[in-house]
This record gives sequence, structure tokens and C-alpha cells, in this order.
Amino acid sequence: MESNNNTLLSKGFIVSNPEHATIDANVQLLRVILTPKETKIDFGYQATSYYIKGGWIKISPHTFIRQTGTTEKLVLTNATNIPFGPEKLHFNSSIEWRYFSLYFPPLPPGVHSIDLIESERSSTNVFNFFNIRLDDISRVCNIH
Amino acid sequence: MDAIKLALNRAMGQAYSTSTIQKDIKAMKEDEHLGYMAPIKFSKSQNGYYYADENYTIQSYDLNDKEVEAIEFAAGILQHFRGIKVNDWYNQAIDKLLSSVDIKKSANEVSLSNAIQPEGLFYMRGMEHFDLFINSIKNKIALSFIHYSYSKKTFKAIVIHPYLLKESNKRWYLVGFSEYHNEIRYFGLDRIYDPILIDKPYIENDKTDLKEMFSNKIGLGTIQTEEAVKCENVVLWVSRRMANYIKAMPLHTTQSIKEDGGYGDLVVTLQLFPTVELINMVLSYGSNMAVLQPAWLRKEVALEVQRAFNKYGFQSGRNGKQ
Repeated sequence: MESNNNTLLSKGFIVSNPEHATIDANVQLLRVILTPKETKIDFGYQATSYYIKGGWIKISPHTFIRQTGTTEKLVLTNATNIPFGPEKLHFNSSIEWRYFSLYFPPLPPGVHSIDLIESERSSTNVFNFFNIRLDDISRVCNIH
Repeated sequence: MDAIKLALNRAMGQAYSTSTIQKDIKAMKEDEHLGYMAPIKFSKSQNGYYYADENYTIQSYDLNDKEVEAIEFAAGILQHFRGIKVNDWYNQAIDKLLSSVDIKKSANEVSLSNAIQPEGLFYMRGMEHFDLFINSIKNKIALSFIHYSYSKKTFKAIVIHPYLLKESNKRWYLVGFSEYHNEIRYFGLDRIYDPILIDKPYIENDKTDLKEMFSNKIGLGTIQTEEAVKCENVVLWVSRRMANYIKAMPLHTTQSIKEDGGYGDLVVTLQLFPTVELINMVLSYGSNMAVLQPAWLRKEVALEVQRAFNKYGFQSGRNGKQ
């Protein structure tokens, strides 16, 4: 995404509600914030009524992002509002929710889309997101 | 110093020590929070203090006693909102205002801030962003934030061009043009996460009168039904027991009243958008208030009363005995 190059030199940019593919319906990928320092991805999780008390969430410390179609991994550096596995955050009821963020190293300029992979063994219990589009101009804006 | 002590004693009705006066003089000269930065000097020849700038005064406005009292009243109300993390400068500004009006008050007078007791303001989640929102409104800067909908139980990343911070029923809302919804929307501060200022051409509000938008509502909670989409006449029956209260303090600015039957009961008409808060208000009066019109709202409230009754596990028609 060439048009990103200039903004990466400054404060960075935000992609709101980027298009993507995933399996888990309870977790929503909401926003990608790309800065020269890091890549931050914001999520919302609605506890599930499948479990009486809403179940739990955690994130594997081995979670990574990669440019779609490539193999080079940028591994998770930090997480807020969600514990690293094996520790779990247990909900108290199915009406609870959680806004959380995952942090990765900065992406190089010109990346059109990325995958976020918690585990390459596909399962509904992992947070895997594919083809997260960063090049839809209508969803992109610069940080002030 | 003796002359200052004497003057203070006369004005305030009590004695002050030399060290207290010296500390106050120092604070007037140097305390940045107090903000006077008074150019006070000591004259050895005259053996007294003076302002190096003859035009200097700590009172920017020369107020009379009634005006000071009016400001003290307002400051007293503001004082009840101290402690809310709205703005780093807020508490300090109130303290300064209170200390300013205190200057003219003698020691025997009861502070007006202790003589009035408004309900005050409770902290709600999201108020820590107040400063940022005010900054974005004032400087016309768009914002990106995450919003969680309590009713839909879903999240959205919102880009908003903010116009207003609106308080309603002790809740605060950010009002602005939402790009996602392509219209003016309001978002409860408690449901806003991680707001970030963004660079986008600011979309001005040149179509909607925001005052009017909110003046025909009680609260801002949307009733999830197709009927609650327009401003209409809401007609209420009010019992004679509550009649005087409703006459003395109208439910809404559009309130008009008709006597009902000559026993003191009232028929009250309001013209507004029905909201969740309107329903809650009717329910709060229990058997002393009922919706007469519109029919859909009458049914909505009746069903809620029925659901509430069922929660108590009584069977109707048996005098409340199980």
C-alpha cells in the first residue's frame, strides 16, 4: 500500500473495521493501528451463551501476524485486557464483554493485507484472522 | 505588620498571626496555582508592603456584595462536582474561585457552599476522556474510537466528527456525525473505548439544530420498536395525589394540563419522542400515572407493569396471597 509510506514516517494510520475472514463469531476484529513503533490490533469479544457463565478468553504468546501469502512472522509483543495463555480470563456471565488489544512489531511499508494467527491448527477456539485488508482507502485515516 | 493585623481583625472578625500573614503574602507573590503572582515589595523606609505595579489588583472585577454572593452560590454548586476526574484543571479552578469569593466574607458568615446541596455528579466510565472530547469539539478534529452497544451486544470502530458533549439523566454522551452510520448519532461515554484524534476533513453540522434534536426528548434511550420514531403527543393520566407535584414541576417543557373529572386527577399532554426514560418515568409514579395515548406506548408500559408484577410471584385476584 504505497499511499501508507508517508504516514508511516509521521504518527501512523488507522484502519477501521477492516475486511477479513474468521471462524469465531464471538470475537470482532475492530481496528488496526499502524505506527512506526508498533502494530496494534483492537478486538471486541462478547461472552458466549454456549457456556452458563460466558466461558473464558486467553491469547497464546506465540500469536503472530504475517503479510498474507508470506511466511515471515511478527510475533506478539504485548497484550492489554486479555491474559497470555495458559492463564485465562473467566467471565461471570454471558452478558459480559471485553475490549482488548494485541501488539506486534511494526509492519514494513506497502503491506496490503495481513493474517493474524494464534494457532496454525485451525479450530473455532483460536483467534485466527485471514486477509485483513489494510488498503481500503475508505476505511483508512491518519493519526492526528 | 501591626497595621495589617488590625485591618484583618476588623474585616474578618478574628486575629491572624504574623507567620500566617507572611505565608499568605508569599503565596500571593509566588504560588502559581493560586495565580495572583502579585508584585508585592517591602519598603524599609515606609516599613510596609506595597504593590510595585500601582495598577495591580487581585480582583479583576470590582464586585459588590450581592454579586459576590451570587458567584459564591454558583461556586458552591460547582464545588459539589469536585473530585470527578473530568479535567485536571477543574478542581483547581473551583478552589481558586471559592478562595476568591471567600476574601470578601467575614469569619462569622456561613459559606454558601455548605448551605446548598445539589445531587452532584457521579463518576461514570469514559469521563476520563472528557478533555480529549472537548479538545476535539473545540478544534474540529475527528475521532476514532471503539463503541460497544449494550442492546445489540456488538462492537464497532467508529469515526466521528464531534459537535457536542450532552448530559442526560446523569449520563454523558458524545454527539457528532458518525461516518459508519452516515448521520448524527450520540454515544454514551461509558461505551466508548480508546478514542484517538485523527486527521480527516472535518464534517461540519450545518443541517441539524442540536438544541431542538434533544429538547423534544426525556432522556436519550431508544425504545427498540418501529413506532418510536417520531415526535408525537403522549397523553398521561395523573392521580390527584401527584397532581400538585406535576403542576409545580412540569414533566417536560411541552407539558399542557387538563383537569380530569373534577376530583383533582389530571390529563397531561407532552409532545416528544418516546424514549426508554419516558417509560421509566411513567413507571416510577406507579399507580399514580398511566399512559392514555399513543396506544402502542400504553401497551408497552402495561406489558412492563405486567412483567414487573409477575416477578413477585403473586397471582392476581387473590389479594396478593400465594
